[in-house]
Amino acid sequence: MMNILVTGGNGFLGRHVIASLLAQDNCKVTCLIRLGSQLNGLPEDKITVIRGSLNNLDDIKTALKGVDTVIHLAASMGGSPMGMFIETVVSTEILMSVLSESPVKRLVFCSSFSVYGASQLNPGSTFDENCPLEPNPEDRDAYAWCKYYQELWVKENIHDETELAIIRPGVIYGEDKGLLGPRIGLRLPGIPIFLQIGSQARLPMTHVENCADAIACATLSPNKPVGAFNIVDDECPTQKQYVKEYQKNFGSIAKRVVIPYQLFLLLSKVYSIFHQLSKGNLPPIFSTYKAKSMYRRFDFSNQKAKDELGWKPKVSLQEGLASAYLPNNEK
Amino acid sequence: MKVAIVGIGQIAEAHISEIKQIPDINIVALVDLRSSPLRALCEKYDIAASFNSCTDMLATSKPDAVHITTPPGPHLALAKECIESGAHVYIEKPLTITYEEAEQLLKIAESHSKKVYLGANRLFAPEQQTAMNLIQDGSIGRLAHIDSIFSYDLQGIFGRQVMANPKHWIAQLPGQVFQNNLNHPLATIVPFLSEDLEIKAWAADWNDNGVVYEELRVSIFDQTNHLTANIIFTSNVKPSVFKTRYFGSKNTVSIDNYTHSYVLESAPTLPGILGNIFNLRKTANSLKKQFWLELYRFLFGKRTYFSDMKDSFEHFYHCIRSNEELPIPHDQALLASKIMQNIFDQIGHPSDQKNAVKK
Repeated sequence: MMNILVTGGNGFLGRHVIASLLAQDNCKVTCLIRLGSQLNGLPEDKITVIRGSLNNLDDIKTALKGVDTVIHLAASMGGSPMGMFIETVVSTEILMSVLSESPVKRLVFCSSFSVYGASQLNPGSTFDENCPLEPNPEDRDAYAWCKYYQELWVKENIHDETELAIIRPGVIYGEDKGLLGPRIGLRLPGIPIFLQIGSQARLPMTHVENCADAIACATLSPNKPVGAFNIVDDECPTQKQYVKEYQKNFGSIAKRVVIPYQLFLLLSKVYSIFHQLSKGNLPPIFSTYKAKSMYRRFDFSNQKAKDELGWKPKVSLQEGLASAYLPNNEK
Repeated sequence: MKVAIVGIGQIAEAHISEIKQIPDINIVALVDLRSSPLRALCEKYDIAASFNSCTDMLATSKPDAVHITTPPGPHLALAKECIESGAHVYIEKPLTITYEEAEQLLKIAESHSKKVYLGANRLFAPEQQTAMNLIQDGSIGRLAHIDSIFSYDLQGIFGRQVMANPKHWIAQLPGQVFQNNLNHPLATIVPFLSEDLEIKAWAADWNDNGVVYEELRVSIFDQTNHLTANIIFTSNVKPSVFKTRYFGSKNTVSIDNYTHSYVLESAPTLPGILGNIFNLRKTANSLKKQFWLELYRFLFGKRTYFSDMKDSFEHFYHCIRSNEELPIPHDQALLASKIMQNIFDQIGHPSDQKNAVKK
């Protein structure tokens, strides 16, 4: 019987990871969730729920009692950059300090595609686990900055005797989440249009159940997982293909305006001038650095996860979108 | 001038980025118990040294001034150590946990001829400065009453964490959420107060969360200056508000610290309703001018979200160099602390049934 602690277990991905684990017979799952947060449908009768804070050493020590495997999913998705850092990276620092003195045998850590230095790659390159990491994480966004340092901290502080699997998912979608994310386009406040940025960039989509299965595979694999694993589904549709499939399921996207990548790049350059002129009053939502990272065409490889973890994405894009539903504000 | 920052939490990055814009100020070190934020911010802002101990930092970096941006629990101990090592200190509000601690801290600072600056930076917002000037030059006549309304969003990301966690450092402060924010409205009132005060305070936990009070009402009677003041601290309104109104014997000035605007209300010069209508036109014209000025400041970076903080840093450094009195002198910082202590002693804790007003 494996004793597994999941952090962030009541989040979008976490709930599916726990469902994947509970589908096995040999898993005893404990969840450390934040005080005051909702269970979000977690089966409290089948798992142990500990309420506490990942920023509290004693809460982590309590949660780790008797645990041999940790799945670390918790990360802040919003708030001020420093607030996100404290919730994501400082909590990871505290977790790693406790792990180094615990008998935990394996840590499965959920990182992100955003740690890659996409702007450094030539268009058409294939993203695999050997791609260079982001040289300027602070120039991307607060989430990328936090995930970069979180992964760095995990890698540099993992105990010699603890196995480490780093899972780097692409864009996780499913249910009502991640369906029209920023890699496809943006809705700007006060402007009633959906601005689709380019049409030919491939999207590193992964359905939440597929991603959860990959994490379960990394957790339960009898072989020692080594290094990082990119998690993207087999179909990495272009923006155009994805929008077509999306519209098949949810109807046409109201007031969609497609802006070619090169024009967006030019507009981003102009916007950057105003961002600097206003000394940051105009937020850095557009920049050429971000545009080069997100909207150029790359290919994505999931071969390592398939070969070494025995993972196979079971939900296709068509099935994933068919089972999804629009969030209330998009209906 | 060499500056160090102790406590890399929510507000520390704002301190770093604003200090970086001030010429001749060099951030020599960051200090925190945790190493990951030290590394990230040192790399982001090209800062040479970081430490897990304030003692080590003081011995190695020998700063002229230290910004203390930790939660208030260790403020006294850290500030004492910095002052004794020869540094002036800028302390993020609240100054200390208790009035006794504040008294002790300022005594130590004065015995070492060092400055302690209480960080309540909204005092340097242009609209606040306009109001201060109008009061000081007699434009509103004798100041008779001040209303300060301040809101805090307990339903936001940070507020929800405080309400859900009785162990949260804010929930554990004697004055909880109020203690972490009351310096803002108090900074608009304290400069006009004597020490001869009668204070009435009332608080409520209307949502019955049992962890923190959400509502606070304070009435202050200054027997010497014949001045009254009210503070409304609310956690149940939208949009967020921070407004102060100074009522004078001739005119009244109202300021809005979020829209950075002010309105000077004076008696109508025309008779009856017509006079009121023309006063409205005067207000509309004044606000129109302020709108264009604010837009210009926004687009050309003349003022940013933390400009007020940068202004207070510049005053702090200037006062250190010139040995002038601080814009918030020690006696005012101490008076603010004394008023807060009085309020918190009156309201107690939400779990204290006899003080809480239940739904």
